[in-house]
Amino acid sequence: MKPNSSCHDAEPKVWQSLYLMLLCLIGTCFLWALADGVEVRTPMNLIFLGLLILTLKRWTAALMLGIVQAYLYVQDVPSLHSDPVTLSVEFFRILLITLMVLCVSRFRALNDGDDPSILAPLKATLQGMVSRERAVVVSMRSNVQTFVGWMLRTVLLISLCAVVAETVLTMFPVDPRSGTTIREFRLKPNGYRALMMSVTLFGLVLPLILLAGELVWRTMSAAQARTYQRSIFLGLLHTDLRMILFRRQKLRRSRQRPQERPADPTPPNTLLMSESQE
Amino acid sequence: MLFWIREIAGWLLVVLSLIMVRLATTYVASPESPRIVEASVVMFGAMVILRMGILLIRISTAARICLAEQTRVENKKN
Repeated sequence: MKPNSSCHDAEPKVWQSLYLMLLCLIGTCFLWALADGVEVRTPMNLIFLGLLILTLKRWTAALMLGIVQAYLYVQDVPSLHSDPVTLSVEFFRILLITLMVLCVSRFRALNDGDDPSILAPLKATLQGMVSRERAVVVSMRSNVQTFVGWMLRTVLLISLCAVVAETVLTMFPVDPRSGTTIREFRLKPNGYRALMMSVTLFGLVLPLILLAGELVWRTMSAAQARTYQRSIFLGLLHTDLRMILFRRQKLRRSRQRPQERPADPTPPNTLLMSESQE
Repeated sequence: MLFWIREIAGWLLVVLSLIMVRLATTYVASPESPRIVEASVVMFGAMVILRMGILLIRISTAARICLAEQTRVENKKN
């Protein structure tokens, strides 16, 4: 484990314990922010919190995001005309949920699957700190500074995203009686006609393109099929490897470009002179 | 058999996306209150589902071609 690592490096394993501690802290804040007197909402929030904590052991980020979507869907979205307190509470709640999802996701990413329980990394770190193991203490001290800096930057970014999301959500409220609704958007007659024509044409052309594409696709050779399969599975299963390959290709192309220039029949000096004369 | 199941699933997704395109068209088509924003959201979803469906169909077709080639080579060896 590297004691001094920047946020651009791979995250150290000790960050797993920090994520877990932060998750407990944020979860407590979340529970504290729940009580607003609605009977149905509190049990739903607790169920959501339980599902979120279960993600530490059971499932991956895709389902977590699904849970967050479901949560946001059942929430009452305040309109732009609501008082600032309501808006800020809603913002705080969204921020907490996002931070919890972030912590769970990073915890899972750092978990290599060998740990017998969720609390094992936290227990090991705490034991090392209590028994004052020098390596653990030095590692924690330097990593906490890096972790806090990284977390602050992330919170700023998430806050910005939450502000944008909240503005958009309050512009288009779920309840049509609570302010400006999307039904109030109108088009000019000419614009509407152009839109209708393009949608109709698109609806007609799309099935034809699909059929033609699929018919042509079935005529490919076995070598082409193998290349396609390799390419697709590389993209789906090894995205990082694909990124490295793309970067290498780009680098090779940029190296080849200066070598190709002397092959140009016009010497560079002549070209410059002709350009300056023009 | 697995490839056929994938291909059928892919075609089902394509059909679903076409139904969604149709739904988006009906949203836009009412001149009294054209629901443009809703239509664009549905259309975006339809395009995502269409892309997934086409991906499934293409992968299963390519896999079937690869398998057929492999079987032919093994039969020749035997």
